[in-house]
Amino acid sequence: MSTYILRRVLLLPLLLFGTTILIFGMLSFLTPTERSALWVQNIPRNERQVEGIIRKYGLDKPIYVQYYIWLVGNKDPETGEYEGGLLRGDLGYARSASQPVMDIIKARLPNTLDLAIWSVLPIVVIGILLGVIAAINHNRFIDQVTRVFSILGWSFPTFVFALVVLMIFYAGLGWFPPGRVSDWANQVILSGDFHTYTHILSFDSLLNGRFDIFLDVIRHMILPVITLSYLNWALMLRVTRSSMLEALRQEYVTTARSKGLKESVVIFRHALPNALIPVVTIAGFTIVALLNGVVITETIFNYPGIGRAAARAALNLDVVGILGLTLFNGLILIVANLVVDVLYAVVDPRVRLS
Amino acid sequence: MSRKHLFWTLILLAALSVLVAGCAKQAVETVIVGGEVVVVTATPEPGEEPCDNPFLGSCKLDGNGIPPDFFSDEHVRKGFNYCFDWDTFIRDAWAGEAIQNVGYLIPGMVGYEPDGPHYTYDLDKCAEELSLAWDGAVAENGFRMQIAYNTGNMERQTAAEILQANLSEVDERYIVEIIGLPWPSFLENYRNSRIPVNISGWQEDLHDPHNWAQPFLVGTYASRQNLPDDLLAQLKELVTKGVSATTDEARAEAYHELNQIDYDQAIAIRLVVPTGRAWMQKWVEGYYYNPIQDLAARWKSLSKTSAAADPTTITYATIGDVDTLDPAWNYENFGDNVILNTYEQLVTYDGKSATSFVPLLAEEYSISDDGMVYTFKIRDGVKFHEGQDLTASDVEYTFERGILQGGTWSPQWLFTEPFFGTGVYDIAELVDPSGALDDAPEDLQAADSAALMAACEQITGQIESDDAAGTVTMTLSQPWAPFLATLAQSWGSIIDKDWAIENGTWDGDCATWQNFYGIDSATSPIRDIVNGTGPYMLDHWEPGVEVVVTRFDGYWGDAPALERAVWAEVDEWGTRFAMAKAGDADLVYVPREFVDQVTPYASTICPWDSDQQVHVCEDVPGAEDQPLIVYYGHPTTYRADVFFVWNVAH
Repeated sequence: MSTYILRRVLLLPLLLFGTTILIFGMLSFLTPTERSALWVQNIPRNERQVEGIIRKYGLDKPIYVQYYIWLVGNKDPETGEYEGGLLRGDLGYARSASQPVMDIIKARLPNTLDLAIWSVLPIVVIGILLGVIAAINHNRFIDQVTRVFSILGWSFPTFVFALVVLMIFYAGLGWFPPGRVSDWANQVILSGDFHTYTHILSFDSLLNGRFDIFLDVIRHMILPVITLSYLNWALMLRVTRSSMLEALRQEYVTTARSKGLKESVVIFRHALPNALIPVVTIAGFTIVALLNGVVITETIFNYPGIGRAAARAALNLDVVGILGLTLFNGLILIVANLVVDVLYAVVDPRVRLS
Repeated sequence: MSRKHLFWTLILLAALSVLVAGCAKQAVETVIVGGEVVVVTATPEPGEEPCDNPFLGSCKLDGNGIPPDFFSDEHVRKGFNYCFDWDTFIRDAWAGEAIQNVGYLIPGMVGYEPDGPHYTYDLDKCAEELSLAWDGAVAENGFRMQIAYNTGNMERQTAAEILQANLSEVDERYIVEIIGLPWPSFLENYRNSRIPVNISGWQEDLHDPHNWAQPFLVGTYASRQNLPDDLLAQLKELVTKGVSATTDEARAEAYHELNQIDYDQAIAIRLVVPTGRAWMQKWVEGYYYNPIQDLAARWKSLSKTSAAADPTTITYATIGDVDTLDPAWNYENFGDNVILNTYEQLVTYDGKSATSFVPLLAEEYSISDDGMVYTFKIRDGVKFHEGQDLTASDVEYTFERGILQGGTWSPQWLFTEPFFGTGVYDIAELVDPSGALDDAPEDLQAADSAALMAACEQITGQIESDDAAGTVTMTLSQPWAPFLATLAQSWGSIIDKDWAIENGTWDGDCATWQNFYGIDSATSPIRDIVNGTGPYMLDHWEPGVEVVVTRFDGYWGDAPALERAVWAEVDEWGTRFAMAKAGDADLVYVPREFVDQVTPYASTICPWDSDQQVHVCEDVPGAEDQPLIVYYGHPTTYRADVFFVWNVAH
């Protein structure tokens, strides 16, 4: 088991390296002028302006030289020392966001985490619950209803559903506003009296004893959480349902029933734990998706998370921003994948033993 | 996937990337142009140069292409002009919200001739001109070419489609293909001089005819049109005459002459100026329209009635973000607005007027008879946000530091031209007139130190201050009619000398300026801090989220009504719309295509009265309960034109 984990951890940097190579490879599709378009937003006043940008940012250097600079940084001609570069923890300056990539991650990751934490609970718990209900009521009315309900959610385009709930619950009823916090709460947070412990606002507001701010934060998160939950329930439901049905057909369940155990014990003690094994994988990937930022949901609810920054970088062809954020997403994906695999081995002895 | 396969997957990925890199050059051409049209590459005759410019088709007048110098024939350019239908364009591209433009200037400025020479839609004349073109070869064989626009610009696409439809109506063998290119590819092709006809736009920096004559007839656009040298020389002379004339009559004369040449030569198809709309909640008061000064650039003129839930804070739901708050570097709209609220200039606009000025940080000013020496008396008792007093040397330092910091992507070229002469776009050109040192700080630092010193001493000699008398004198190299207009914009904002130096800008010593030259917008030491004399102070700027300013209690002028102003960056239109409906956004940016969606929510509409130059408001019957008010119909300061290129690369 430990060799398995060790091997996976050792592979991690290699995987990340591969990711960067792949992204940089795609970069060579673009000419220096095309890459300068990020800085050159208008028809240039004279020819030298574009040349200046290309020279300044080394856009015409061979792709491997640009990669090397991005990796180890620029050499200062006077001191001979290197500055910047990925290996020094510098992901570069994302022009589309008007700040360095590291600052985007520092500022935005806590927000994305906040949303992910509050979304995971309803997605996983209610998703599994619906799946179990559907399975034990197999082919009955309630099974059909839950399935139709969640399939509808699954097939809704995110932007349609998000806009509809925004129009009803914000523009119409005025209950749940978009954004991160209200302006009054933001003034308190930015004042010196508010201590940041975790950078996650819902936790920090409680730790500061500001229940009013906590409620404000939650109020801003309700619509994105509902959107994310509704769109993700179908997947959880379907996987839980089918694997639950599978488990209920197993001989050990028949044995348990014939022992005269109560039906609830049979379902929750015997069938469910085994049925949950594939669900762990799905839940893992859902969490990864949430951590990487949910582009459309964050954009429509104007929620300042990683996903919105990534969307801006992509729209503006901000290579540095795209590279940095993709690398970060890759890191999360790979680590989370590892965790899921390990968890898998823990919950399923068959994986461990093979 | 089995774990041991992982290694090989990685190898595969790496190999793939190398492959991708190798193919890239080849792929670009096909990817860009292959999407919409068939690329026909002519096989060159022996001894003939190959033609691989897809915009030109076969590169010959054989009915399947055009020669690279197709538009050097004036009959072609005139024919294209006659084939353009302005009314359809205004209706289809701008939903009726635009005004036809006569000539290269925009309506309402010195030199603009509402009745001047201009082309009108006339298919017969179009046919006639094209039959004369290329000694009849065009009419005999027809032609096929591509017109490019950059994607996301509906109006540019529509302009191309109108030409396409009308030319084919004149003769079905006159074939225009329209190609939408993403901005990076458009820039690539534009820069390589491959596009024979392109549609591009300009947003004015100052409300002055020079700001149109310069880019459209001699600068940015004209330089890419490959105009013949004698024509260009003639235009340059007149443009210089127009900007340096000291009376409006003399200026107008030069601009009228230019208009005649523009018409005779049919240099471009001059399109239309769109009219604008400003949407806000009914409780916002104090709105007036100034063409060059955005509403969000003067929060101090606005207030909110008690009908608003929060009458002290104003929230503007908009798009975009600040690039830099260094007034010497900022050259885009969002930053402009933040800077204009927090910093102040020597002079400013007189209310609604975009062409007359009133003193601001200068108590009074005088201009010498020859129009070359400007003297400003600096106002007493003005304090910066951090408590320092405004002095004449702050003013001197501000302009010297801005010009010496340079950068061709900064607005400093608007100062280098009046101080050093037309055509000088950067301080580095005083060291090397070829422009080889522009934007190249390392090369500049290696330049001859005497030349460096001389450049710095020239500008420090042209701007002089006297703290005891409280005056600043600026000596231009030639009379410059739009000089006050240049000073009134965000790049004319006065900063505190000691504060700026403390934070790491140029130390005021001519021996070191080259070390502060040519920074980029991200690295200015005063990029995200503000210490101005304006009515508002920067509270915070959270990139991608919001910019907030709060009232400055030590402001020398009248205290503004609003205590706090928020620019909320809301990328998605639906979200901004919801914020306006919910009353959380006091002002909202509405893209043109969504106007119909918002109109039912306006209880008051205020169309522009062009005679009186004001908005005249009226209530919408039956809509009394709706929350919004809209001001519309005022001409904006933006225009796109169709530019012909005399000679393109092939």
